[in-house]
Amino acid sequence: MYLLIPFIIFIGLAGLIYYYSLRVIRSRQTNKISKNYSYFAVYVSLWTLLPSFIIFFIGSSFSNNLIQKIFLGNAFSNQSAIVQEVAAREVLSIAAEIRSGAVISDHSVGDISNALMVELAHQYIHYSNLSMIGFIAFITILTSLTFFLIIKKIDFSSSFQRKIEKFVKNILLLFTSIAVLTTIGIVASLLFETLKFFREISIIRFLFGTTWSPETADFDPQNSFGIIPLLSGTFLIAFISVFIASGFGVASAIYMSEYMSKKMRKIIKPLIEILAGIPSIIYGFFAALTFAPFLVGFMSGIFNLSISSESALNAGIVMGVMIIPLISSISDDILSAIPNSMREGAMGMGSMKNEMIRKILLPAALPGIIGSILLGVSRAVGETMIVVMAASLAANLTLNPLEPVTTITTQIVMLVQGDQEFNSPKTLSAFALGFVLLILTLLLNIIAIQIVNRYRRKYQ
Amino acid sequence: MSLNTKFNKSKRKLFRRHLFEKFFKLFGILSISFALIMLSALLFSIFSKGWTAFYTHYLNVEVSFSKEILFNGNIKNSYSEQEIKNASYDGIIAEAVRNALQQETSLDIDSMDLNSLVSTNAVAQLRNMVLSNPDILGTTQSVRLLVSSNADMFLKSYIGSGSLLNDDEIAAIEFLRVNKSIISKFNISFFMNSDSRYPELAGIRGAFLGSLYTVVLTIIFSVVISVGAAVYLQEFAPRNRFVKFVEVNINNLAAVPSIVFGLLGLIVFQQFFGVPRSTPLLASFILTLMALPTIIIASRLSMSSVPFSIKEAAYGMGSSRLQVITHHLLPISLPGILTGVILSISRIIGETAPVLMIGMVAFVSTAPTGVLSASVVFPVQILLWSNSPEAGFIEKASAASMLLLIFLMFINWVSIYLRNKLEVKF
Amino acid sequence: MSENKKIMVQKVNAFYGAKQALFDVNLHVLEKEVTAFIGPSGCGKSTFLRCLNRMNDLIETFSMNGSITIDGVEITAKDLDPVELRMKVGMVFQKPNPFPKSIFENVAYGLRIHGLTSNKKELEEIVKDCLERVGLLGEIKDRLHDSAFGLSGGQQQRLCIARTIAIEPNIILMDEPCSALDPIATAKIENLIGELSSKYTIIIVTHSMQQAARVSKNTAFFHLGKLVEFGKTKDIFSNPKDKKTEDYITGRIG
Repeated sequence: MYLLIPFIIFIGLAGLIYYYSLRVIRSRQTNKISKNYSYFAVYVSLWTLLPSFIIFFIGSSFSNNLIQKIFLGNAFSNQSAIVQEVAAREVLSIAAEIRSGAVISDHSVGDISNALMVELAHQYIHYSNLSMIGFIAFITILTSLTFFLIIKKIDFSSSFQRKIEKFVKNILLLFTSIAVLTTIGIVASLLFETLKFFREISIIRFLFGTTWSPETADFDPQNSFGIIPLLSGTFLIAFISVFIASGFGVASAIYMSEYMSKKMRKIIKPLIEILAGIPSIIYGFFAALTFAPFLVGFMSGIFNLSISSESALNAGIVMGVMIIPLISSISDDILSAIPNSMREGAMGMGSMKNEMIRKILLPAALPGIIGSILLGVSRAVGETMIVVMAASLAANLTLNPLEPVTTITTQIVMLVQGDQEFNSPKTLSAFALGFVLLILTLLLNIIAIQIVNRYRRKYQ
Repeated sequence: MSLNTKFNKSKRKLFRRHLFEKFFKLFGILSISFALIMLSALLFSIFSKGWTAFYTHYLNVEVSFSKEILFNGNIKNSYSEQEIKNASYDGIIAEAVRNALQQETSLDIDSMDLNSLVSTNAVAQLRNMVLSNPDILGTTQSVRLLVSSNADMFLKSYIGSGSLLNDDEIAAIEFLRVNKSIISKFNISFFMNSDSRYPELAGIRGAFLGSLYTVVLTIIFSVVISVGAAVYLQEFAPRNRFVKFVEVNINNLAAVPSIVFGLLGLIVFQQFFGVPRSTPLLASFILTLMALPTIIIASRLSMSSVPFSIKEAAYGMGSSRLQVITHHLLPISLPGILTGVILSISRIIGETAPVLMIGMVAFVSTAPTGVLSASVVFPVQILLWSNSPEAGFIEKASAASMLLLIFLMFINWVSIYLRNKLEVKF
Repeated sequence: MSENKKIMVQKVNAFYGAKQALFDVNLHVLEKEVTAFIGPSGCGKSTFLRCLNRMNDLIETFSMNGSITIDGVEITAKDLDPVELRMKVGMVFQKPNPFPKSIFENVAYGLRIHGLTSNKKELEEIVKDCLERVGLLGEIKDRLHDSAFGLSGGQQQRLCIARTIAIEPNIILMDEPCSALDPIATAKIENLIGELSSKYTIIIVTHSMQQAARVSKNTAFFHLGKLVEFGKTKDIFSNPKDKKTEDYITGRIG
C-alpha cells in the first residue's frame, strides 16, 4: 500500500497531462490532416513524466538510504558492527509491520529492548514519510513546469505519431537485444567463474585428471577435480541413449513414412510425439523407481548378470526413449522431403521396398539423419534430471554399462545445491563444468544444424 | 549360363529377398512398438501408483476425553490454556484404539504401539477440539482420525508385514477395516496442504502456488519481450549483420542445456542483482530467458505468414507502421504466437534443473504468499518426494507426476483447439 | 476548359537495388479526370504509380530521384510523412485485399485510425454512405457485420474502393483493379470509376487497352521504364505519334 501511493500519484499526473495536452492541441489551428490528436497527448505525457519518474526513483531510494544511514547509524553507535547491522534490519522490519498494520512481534536484539526498537521504527516512518511528501511536492511542481515548457516550445506541425513510433521501435530493439545479452551473460558469467577456478586448480589437472572427488577437495584440491571420469560417464550414457534412440527412431520414421497408411500415421505419430512432451523429471522418476528394479531383475533373471540399480544402462535406455521423437520426427521430415520420382525410379526397376529405402532413400537422407543424431547427442549430454535421479554420484572411470557412472550435469547439481560458499573450489568447479558442457553442446549443435541445413537446401 | 538357370537363380533369390523385406518391416513395427510400450509402461506405472493418493483412510473411534489420562491424574474443573496444550493426547488416542480393538480377542494388544495406527496429526486434531470447546473434557466423542501413512500404505497394499508394521498391527488394521471402523474417503488434504515431514499430511498446494506464481510471471515477461523482439526482427530490423547475429544467437540459445541457464541465474540475477534466492521471481527470470527462443521463433514464423496484401492495404489507407502491427499483423498471427507461448510454457512448467540451481529445492511447509517468498515448484516437489524412502511419499510423487502429465496434455489440447478456432484463412 | 494540374512529375528515375526501373519520367495529371497508365508488363507503370503515394518505401532496396509534386507540395521530400500523404492519395490494389474483419469494420477502419469521426452515429452514416456510393449497400444491407471474406471478388474490390473513399482522399490510385475480376464485375467497377471521377482525381494502371479507352480521358504509355507517349486518350488510340505505341496498340508488343 505504502509503495502504491507514488504510483497512484504518477498515474493521476499522467491522466491530467494527457487531458490538458488534448485540450491544448484541440484549441490550436494546426495544418495537420489527421485529426487523431492522441499521439500528441501521449508524446507530451511521455516527455513530461519521464524526467520526473527517473528523478523520483533515484532520489527516493537515495534519500531512504540516507535516512537509514544517518538515523540508524547514530542510534546504535555504542554496539558492535554486527549488532548494528542486525538491529537496523530489525527496525526496518518493524516499520514494515507498522505500515502493513500487522501485529508487531518481538524484535529485541541483544540488550536493545523491543520498546526502543519500536520507538525508532516510528521515528523512521515519520522521517521517511516527510521525505516522501517532500518528493511528491517537488515532483508535482517539476512536472507542471516541464509540461508548460514543452507546450510552449513544441513544434505543433511536426508528426507526433512518427516520434512515438520511433520511441516504440527503440523499446522493441531493447527487447531484441535481451536475447544477445543472455548469450553474453551466459558466456561471461561462466567464463569469469571458471577463470577463478583455474586460479586455484591447474587446468591440466582438471582436463586430464582421472579422479573426481570433490569431497576430498579440502585436503588435496589439485587431485580432486579431474574431469575424465565425468566425461566418460556422460558420453557412455549419451552413447547408450543415442544408440537406442537412433536405432528405434530412424526405423520408426522409415516405417511411418514409407509403409504406414496415412490414417494409421495420423494416430501413431502424435502418440510418439507425446514422449517429447513429458518432462524429464518424470522420466527420471520412472527410471529410478520402475525401470531400474525391472532392469536388475531382467538382467539377473535372463542373462544371469548382476547390474547396479544406478547403472549407465538404466539411465541410458530411459533417456533414449525421451530422444526417440527428436530423431524420428527430423528423419521423417527429411524422408518426406525426398522427391517421389526417386522412389518411383527404384520401384520401377523391380526393387523391393526395403532395397529402395536402403539403396536410394537412406544414402540421400544420411547427412540429415546424422545431423539429427548429433542433435540427439547434444540433448543427451545436457540432460540433467534423468541422470540426477537415475545415475550415480560416484565418479567411476569405466565404460561398462552395467556399472554406476556419474555425469557432468549430475555433479553440477550436487555441487551447487550443497553449500553456498561461492569462492570455494568446490562450488567454482560447478561453473567450470558448466562451461565445458556449454562448449560441448554448442559445438555439437552448430555441426548438426550445418549438416541438416546443407541437406535441406539440396532438395529445395 | 542359359537364361533359364539365370531365371531360376533369381527366383530362389527372390524368396530370400521377400523374407528380408518381411524382417525389415518387422523391425520397423518393433521400433514403433518399443516406443509405444515404453510410453504406456511409463504412464501405467505413474497412474497406477498415483491415483491412490486421491483417497485416504480414516478411523472412526469413540474418544473419551478422560481428565485422568489427559492430565496425569490432576483432576480439576477448569484448566489453563497452557495445561490443555501440554496434555497427553497420545494417551486417550491409545485408549480409544484399544477400545475399538477390544472385541478382537486374538490380538496381543499390549505388545502393540497403538498410536502407530493413526496419523501424528491426531494429537493436534484432538487438542484443537479441546481448545475450541473445553466442555468436552470428561465426555466421550465420536471422532474421525486420519490413519498413519504406514497403515494407509498397507490398506492400499503397497506394503505388507515387515519392519514398518508387525503382524499384530496388520491384524488390527484388517479387523478395523472389516468392521467398518476404517473407511476410505476423498483425500482433500492432498490438495489443501503444503509439504510436510509426514507423508499422510503432505499436499501439493505450496508447489502448485509456487508454480503458478512462477509461470504467470514467466508468461508476462516472456510474451512481452519475445513478441516485441519478433515484431522488431520481422518489421523494423534492417537486413544487416546485427540481425543475422541476433538470429544465430536465438537459435543457439534454444540449444543451451537448461542447467546452464540455472548457473546464469545464480551468478547474474542472484549474486549480481541480488534477487532473493528460492523465490518465484528469480525462477521466472531464468525461465523467461529459456522461453524466449521458442516464442520468438514461433511468432516470427506466424508473422511471416501474414499476406503482404493485407499490410499493403493498410499502408495504402495511411496506416502507420505501428498501426499495421497492432491492427493487422498481431491479430492475424495471434494463433501462431499463442501456440508458441503454450508450447514453451508447457516446457517451462516441467523444468526442474535450472530452479534447482537457485535453491528452490528446500523443504518449505507453507504455501508461498507472493512472488518474493521462498517456495518450491511442482516438478521439484516430485523430486523431493521421490527422493524420500517412505512409500507414502512415493505415492504422492506419482500422484503429482500424474497431475502434471494430465495438465500438460490438457494445455496441449487447448493449444490445438485455439489454433483451429482462431486461425484466419485467406 | 479548366486545366488544373494536380500532380507534376519531373525527371523521375527509380531503382530496385542497382537495376533501374524508371528512366526520366516527366508527366502531369489533371485534377478530377481519369488518367490511365498502359504498357506491357514490367514496363514500370506500377512502380511509377506507387511512387505517387510512396508505397515503394516498403521495399528496402528501392530508391528514386526526381521531383513529384501534388498541389505544389514536394512529396519525395524525406521529412514528409508518408502516412499523411497516403491519406490524401488513396490506393486500390490489383487483387481485392479486404482486412479479415467485418464489412463495416473494413470501411470504418480508416476513419478510426485517422480520428475523422467524433461519434458512433456519424461513423455509421459515413460507412453506409460510402457503401452506397460504390453500390454495395443494397446488395449486403443485412450482412454489414459479416466477414468481408464472404463477399464475391467484385464485391470485395468495391468494398476496397469504399474503404478508400471513406477517408476522403483527393487522388485515388488504382493498380489494375479489374485484373482479378470477371467481365460483369469489371463493368460495375468501370461505371463506378466514371462516377467517382467527378469528385476525385483517378489514376488507373491497366494492361487492357479497351479499358483504358473506356474509362480514361488521358493516357500515358510506358515501355521498358520510359514514358513513351502521353496525351488525350482519344488521340493516342486514334493517332499515336510514336511507333512503339502504335505497335502496342495494334498488338505487336505485348
